[in-house]
Amino acid sequence: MSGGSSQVHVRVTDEPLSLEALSRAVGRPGAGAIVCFEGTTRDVERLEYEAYGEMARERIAAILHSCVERHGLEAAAAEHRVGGVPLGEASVIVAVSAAHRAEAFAGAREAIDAIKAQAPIWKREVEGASGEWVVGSLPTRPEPA
Amino acid sequence: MVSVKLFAVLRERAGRDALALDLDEPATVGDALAALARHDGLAEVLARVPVVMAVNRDYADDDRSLHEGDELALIPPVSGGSAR
Repeated sequence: MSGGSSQVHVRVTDEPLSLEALSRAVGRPGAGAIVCFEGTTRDVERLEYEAYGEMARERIAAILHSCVERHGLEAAAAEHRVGGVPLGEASVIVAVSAAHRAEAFAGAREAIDAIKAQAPIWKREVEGASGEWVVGSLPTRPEPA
Repeated sequence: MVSVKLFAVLRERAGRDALALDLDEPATVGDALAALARHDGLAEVLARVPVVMAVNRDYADDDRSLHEGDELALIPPVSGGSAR
């Protein structure tokens, strides 16, 4: 889903994520800076992610649109993996581009923080045959526009 | 009659990914939450897991009114909440 704008790209998928592809997706002639964030499985055999897919896509697209507007980004993209994500592999990637690095860093930071706080996505830590839902926080509401 | 989507720990405890809810109209999100808390498959888990409700894929307050055909979902705590 493109989020209705060529500036924003969102995908929720059970396939492995590609940092290179997402970085290329936000490249623009006016972009002098691209910042990418990759969140990876650590300390556990694998994580299993479950998403309310349609809502997650809509929320993430709204977050990226807000970041583009607030930080003057050229483009913003995010992909979240669902299903099993083995140790060391990426569960979420955010990439943003901007004319200069200050707004790119700020926009990427705001995007990943908001995605983690607002997107309806859950994870289970799995070791061998046993798994446990990670206790998180109730989602925060988006800030008024 | 509305259908409520269930996810993660709620889906697991209820043993299904959606359940049907009978509500007297007019009904609000708060009415739906109260009815769900009395539901056999969910009462035990809802007593200890806090939830918010989403209506048509937006987080909704308790006083939001519900209409025929609304898409309801129970959202337990999401896993990425902290900024660590």
